[in-house]
Amino acid sequence: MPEQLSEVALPRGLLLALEAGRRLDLDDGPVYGLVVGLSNLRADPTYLEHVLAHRDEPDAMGAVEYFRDDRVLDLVASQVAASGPRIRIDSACASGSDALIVACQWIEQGYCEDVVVIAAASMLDPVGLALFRNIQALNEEDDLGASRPFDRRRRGFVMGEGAAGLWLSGRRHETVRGWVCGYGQSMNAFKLTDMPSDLGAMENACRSALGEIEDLAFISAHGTSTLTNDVTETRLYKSLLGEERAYEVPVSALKSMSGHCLGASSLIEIVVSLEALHAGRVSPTINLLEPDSECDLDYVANQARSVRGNFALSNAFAFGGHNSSLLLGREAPR
Amino acid sequence: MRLAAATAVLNDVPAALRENPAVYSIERPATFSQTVSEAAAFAIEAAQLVDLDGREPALFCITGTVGSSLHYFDKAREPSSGRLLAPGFARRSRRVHPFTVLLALQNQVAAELSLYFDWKGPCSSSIDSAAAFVDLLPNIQSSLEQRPALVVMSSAAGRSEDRSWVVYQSHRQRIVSGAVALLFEPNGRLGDVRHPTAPGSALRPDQDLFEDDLVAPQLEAGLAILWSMGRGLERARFEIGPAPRHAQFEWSRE
Repeated sequence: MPEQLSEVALPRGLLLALEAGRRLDLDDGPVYGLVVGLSNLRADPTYLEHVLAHRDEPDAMGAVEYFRDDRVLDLVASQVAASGPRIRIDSACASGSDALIVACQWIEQGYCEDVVVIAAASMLDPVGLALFRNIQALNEEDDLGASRPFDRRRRGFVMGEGAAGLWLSGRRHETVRGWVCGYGQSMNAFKLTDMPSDLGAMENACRSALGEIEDLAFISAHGTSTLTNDVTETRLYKSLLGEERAYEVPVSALKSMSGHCLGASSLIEIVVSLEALHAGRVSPTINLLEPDSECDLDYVANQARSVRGNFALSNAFAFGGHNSSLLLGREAPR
Repeated sequence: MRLAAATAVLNDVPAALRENPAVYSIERPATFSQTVSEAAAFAIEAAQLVDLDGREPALFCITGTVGSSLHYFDKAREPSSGRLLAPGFARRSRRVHPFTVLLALQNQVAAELSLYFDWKGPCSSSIDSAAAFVDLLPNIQSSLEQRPALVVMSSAAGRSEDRSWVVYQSHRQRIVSGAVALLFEPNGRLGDVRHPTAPGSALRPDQDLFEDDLVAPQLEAGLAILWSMGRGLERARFEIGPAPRHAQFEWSRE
């Protein structure tokens, strides 16, 4: 850890990542790999103010070194004592789940046995809000009911910020909070900020994750509360599960409560889903008071409830067309 | 892992690669525009040179700086102080081009490649990790079970604050922007790439391969492979990444 850390600016997203790492209860001993889902920090206001004033001054760049390149990974690796391989993933809103998929493949391929996966994001500042406002993606209503996935009154996503972390291991442990039983990825090859009408790529990612599993307790939706996403996701689940079965599987949208935490959201939702599986109780989609007629599945409206089943499907459909799907299990896969 | 194709498109070709037929010099990539970043445009140029024979690859994007979009924020600065977050920012921020947020996302290289070539397979988008190529070898290997794997390294750090950053970090003035595309498939005939099986000394591209005043952020691993091929080497070991993370890989012709 650098001695003069207090004298350099640290981006808020990095601070959130460090906090997530600090809170992980890791054993001493293992050689940990590290995968961090953390998008570009160079829209941070502190960074921008500095480089706008000093853009042509190399000697002035030391003040913002923790906004760029390997410094970010180094600091997080130092926080969690990860001395193994390390990499940083940026697939926008799918960063967290894609980071977990990288970690899974490392373990499957025998590259390492233990991997810390952290995802963090913070653009909850005037610049971040302005950037998303300028592409008309935000709902800036100032109340707790503003994030309303699948509700006909939805007007875009509500920005959140946050971080999540977990320890993925290929070894046996006495205490296990859950399992990653499958995963799938694809690209839409469509507009960067829109979703295609052809759901084939999205469905492929989900099918790769789902495999032959039918014992779904619930689906953790991407559920951003945008007009397009929520309708598209509804169509997707009907196609994926079949018209009849789609109505039987609860679909929970955590962003109704947390807002959209951008690159951190998918890993936050995975952690919550693992706990929900463990408890046999799925979290609700709140603010769902006037359902959209085109969104007519069981979204666990407004109240958590008990569920049966050993698996949950967690999905992220990101800017840029990244589709990332993970199958989480309460028990070891057979 | 078997290498089937390798190519690079650069704005400044190191002397050691100038005779290499797989390395192309290009000042400005054709698709570089207000909506497609310089790095993404270079990535498209490099990927176009790889013959996939109609197959859809698993895509591995190793992305550095995509190109400065700082000038889009200039219009939002308070005139007297030059500050961005001075009173009136909410009003001034509307002058920031709507596409700025897209240009700020480094995964837009992956997105633009996917869009341009209509690739809908799996994609891993890593950023800002100089040793990413080494640490992605297991993931590339995993993807080969189902389809070829295309690794695209890209970087455009030659302008504005990005240039200043690279000069600060490397103490070098010549900054190579461009992209390297490497195609891996089970029957690739150009050579083999793997992790070393035993400790050993390695060449560092930034110190041993290229001119003292030149740096190629994020592209070193790919350029090192092209260098080995161009020289007709049977085998070479390379080390990439800054301290404390020095990651090694080996290339061999067999």
